[in-house]
Amino acid sequence: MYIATIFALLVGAFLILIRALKGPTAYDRILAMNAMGTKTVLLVALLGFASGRPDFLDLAIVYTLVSFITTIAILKFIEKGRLD
Amino acid sequence: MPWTEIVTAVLLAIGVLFSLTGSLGLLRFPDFYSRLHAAGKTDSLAQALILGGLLFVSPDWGVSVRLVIIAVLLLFTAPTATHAITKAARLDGLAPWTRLNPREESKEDAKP
Amino acid sequence: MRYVTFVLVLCGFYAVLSGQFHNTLLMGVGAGCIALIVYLSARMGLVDEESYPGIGVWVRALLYFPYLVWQVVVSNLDVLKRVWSPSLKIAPRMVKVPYGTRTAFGTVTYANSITLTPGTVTVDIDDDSMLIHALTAGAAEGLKDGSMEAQVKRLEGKR
Repeated sequence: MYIATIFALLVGAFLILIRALKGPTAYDRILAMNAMGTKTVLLVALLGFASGRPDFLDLAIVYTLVSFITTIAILKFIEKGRLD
Repeated sequence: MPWTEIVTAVLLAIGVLFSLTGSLGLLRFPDFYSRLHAAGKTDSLAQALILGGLLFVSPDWGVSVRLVIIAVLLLFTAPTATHAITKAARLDGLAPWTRLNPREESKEDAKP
Repeated sequence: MRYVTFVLVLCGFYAVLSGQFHNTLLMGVGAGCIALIVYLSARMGLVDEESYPGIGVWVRALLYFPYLVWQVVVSNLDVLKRVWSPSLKIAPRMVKVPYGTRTAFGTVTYANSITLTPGTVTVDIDDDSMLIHALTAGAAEGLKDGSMEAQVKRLEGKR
């Protein structure tokens, strides 16, 4: 059950990756990577359950926050050209 | 198979379906603004369904609380990130794609 | 008062995530982290009316939530239908929609709710109108009947 879900999510991640590689504008790529972040969080959580080690959820929490901050930081850099 | 696992399987299946829809939409839609519809909307429901499904098979309360925390964090950060991307693209002057006589309409509607 | 709530929430968060209460070192580090977070938040001016609205808002938000969830489900089914249909039935357009919410909180909630309704995404907000990207003409029309705005105004409460 978990393995099937993980596999389906990976297929989705692959489609997103194609968009990130093709994406005509930088914003398409950022949108794709943002969606990829959500997928990764779900993937990590599912992986924890599949291997019987739900401690993985802590990693998922951290990844949620890091991926959000990454998106905001990249956007800020594009908008202002600097981060401070 | 206990009933909790059946509920989990059903929720995971529906969640994955929406997740795949978002990915495919991201790939198929013609321009940035319509891709927002695919990516931004499906993400929140898909994650809620998948994490909610896992909630039914969580071994103890600590795991359940963590699942809820992840779901709430994603629920707040995902739309915020989407809005930030949209705003950045808007300020950059990205023009929307239209199907009906593209020249007039994009000129009429794209003004900030 | 807000600081007390803030510290209590942080303590609860740390206790739940660490899951233990007997290790002196870990509890000390946790207390240090909480103190640092409170100091930084105060310096950034984050602990104010906006982050800690009154209890009435929470109650009304609880009433608003089922409506929002329903909208999310409907809009996801809508996207599902469009994405998997072979002909990709969309005719995107930008429309301006006026809004009458009073508070910043209400305006943000309204904008976010528009994003979550079928076929519409908020792109930009002016002083008196929002710029909406709609996938179809029908989606743009559906927004103008104002049923959602009424819901958000109820959430804001009366004054």
